[in-house]
Amino acid sequence: MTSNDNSPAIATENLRKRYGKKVAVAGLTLCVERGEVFGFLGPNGAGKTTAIKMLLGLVRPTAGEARLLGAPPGDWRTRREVGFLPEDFRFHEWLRADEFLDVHGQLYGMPKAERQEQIPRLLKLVGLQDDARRKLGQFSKGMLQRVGLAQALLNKPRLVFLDEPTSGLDPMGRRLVRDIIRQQREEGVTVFLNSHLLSEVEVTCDRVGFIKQGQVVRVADLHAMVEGDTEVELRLGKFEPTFLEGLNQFGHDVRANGDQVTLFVQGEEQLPAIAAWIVAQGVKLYALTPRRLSLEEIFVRVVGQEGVIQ
Amino acid sequence: MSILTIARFTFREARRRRLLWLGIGLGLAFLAIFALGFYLVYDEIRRSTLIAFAGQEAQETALKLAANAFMMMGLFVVNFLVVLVSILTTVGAISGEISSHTIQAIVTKPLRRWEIILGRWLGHALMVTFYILLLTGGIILIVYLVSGLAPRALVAGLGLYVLEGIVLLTASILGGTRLSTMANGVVLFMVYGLAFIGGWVEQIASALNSQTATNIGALAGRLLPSEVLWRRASHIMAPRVSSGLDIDGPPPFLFTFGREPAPSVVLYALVYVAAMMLLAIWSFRKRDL
Repeated sequence: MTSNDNSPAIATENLRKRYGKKVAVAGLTLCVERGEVFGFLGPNGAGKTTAIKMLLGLVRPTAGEARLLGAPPGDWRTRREVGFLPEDFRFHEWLRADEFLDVHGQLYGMPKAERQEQIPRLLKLVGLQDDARRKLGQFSKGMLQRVGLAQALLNKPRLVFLDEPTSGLDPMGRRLVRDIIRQQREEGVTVFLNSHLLSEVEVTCDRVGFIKQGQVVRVADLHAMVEGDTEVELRLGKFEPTFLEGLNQFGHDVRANGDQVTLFVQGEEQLPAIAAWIVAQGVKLYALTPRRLSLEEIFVRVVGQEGVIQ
Repeated sequence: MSILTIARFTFREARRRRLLWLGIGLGLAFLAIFALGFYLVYDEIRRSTLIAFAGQEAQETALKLAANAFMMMGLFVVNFLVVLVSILTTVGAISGEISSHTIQAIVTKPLRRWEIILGRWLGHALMVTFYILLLTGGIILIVYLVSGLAPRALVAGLGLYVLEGIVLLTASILGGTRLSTMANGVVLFMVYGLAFIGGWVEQIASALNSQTATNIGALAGRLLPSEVLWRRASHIMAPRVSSGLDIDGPPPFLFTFGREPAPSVVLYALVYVAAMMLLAIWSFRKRDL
């Protein structure tokens, strides 16, 4: 059975998970299109891993709907097209790297010829071609992460979940993961990336979803968001309190500290209009300094806010 | 065929972790010690019976009694080894995979959870069966080669020993779907102890004609019908020692002093295994991992 090609790679509707009284995921509504690299961001304990586990059928949702490549999360046939690198992954340490991939290839139902072709190729891709016959018990954490990544790509998946794929990796390893994710995108694979390393997400993802207390609080096109969220610092002459209210028309979070005023605007196109408006109000403008926010700053702002933004 | 993949994996794991070779090596050492001890002691008994008993029939009966006692003692020790091996090798088969998170990369493959349970069960069942046949077959063969004494219902008896191991490992796999490895082991040995004591109570109460105590003992024994299978196996395998005297059957000092358990215990054990398997599959399917 093949999955429905027109459906999104991932679609969830108010997905919930409760463990006793503790709500791990409060109502996840999300849509990830096919072929995109989607970053899943949130503070520790926000419910990211539980959400991924629900999508993969490891954990049963308390309520809500989810579809993976058009099929319910527990559908075992759909898993032929899904790859997964777990967060706290441990593999059987008594297996050699090539044996480990062979066992997982068998579990994917791959014929022997395909396994023999794929395994050396993937070991080379993750830089472990010389360690194929070493036992996993002798591997460092970074090497295990690499072989785990190879395992997640073994079946040439159409959707791959990477839960903290760069934890334990050195800079070269992180770069390798970045390159692999890019290569997957070029091949039309959907990548669902859960990572704490925002710099990684910034350079690899098309879109990001911010999750907080088990809810998606914002989903945004990453590049547009990074360009769009701009902090503006103003140094002004004397002004009335009503002046600050007037500045609200250009952005949000207007704050004053003496003659310093800061606000956040969407895009730099508004800067000339702000300057003109200030001058028109009769307020002296000594400096206007725009500063683009990094994803980290946006992350802190988004997950630091209460309530659902989008 | 994911079941066979998992079963092969289980077998390979036992081989790679030296469990298989250690089991076989120590099993063979056990048989070697038994063979040597039995040969020497039996030879000594043979010489002394020639002096003690006048008639040939009496001599043969005495020797058969001695050989029977040795065979049953050997099988009794093997029984405990089987209990230990069946439980200890399977107690972490599922729970260990869950606690180490290795299960996550397996369960998310295109296979159904019941295939994992059945695959694990099959792999362990084959290994335990091999182990039981090696040890019980070894004991019986040694006794036969030294004394010429052969058990009566050999195949049926061996089948019951194997069923006993399968009862234990199935219960162990069921426990592993919900309990931690240590909790599962403790629970299994406690229930085994309960069933063992139940068997005593049943036999003693039956001899004293106390129906209530018999029922209570039988009920406790059925919580884990391994000990009752061992008793039935011992009864049906015990060689005929004498045609005239009422001294057939397993030696009473091996806690098999009561009547032979009814054939229905076999059917009960088969239903028990099937029910434990279904419960294990259901429990694992519902489990958040």
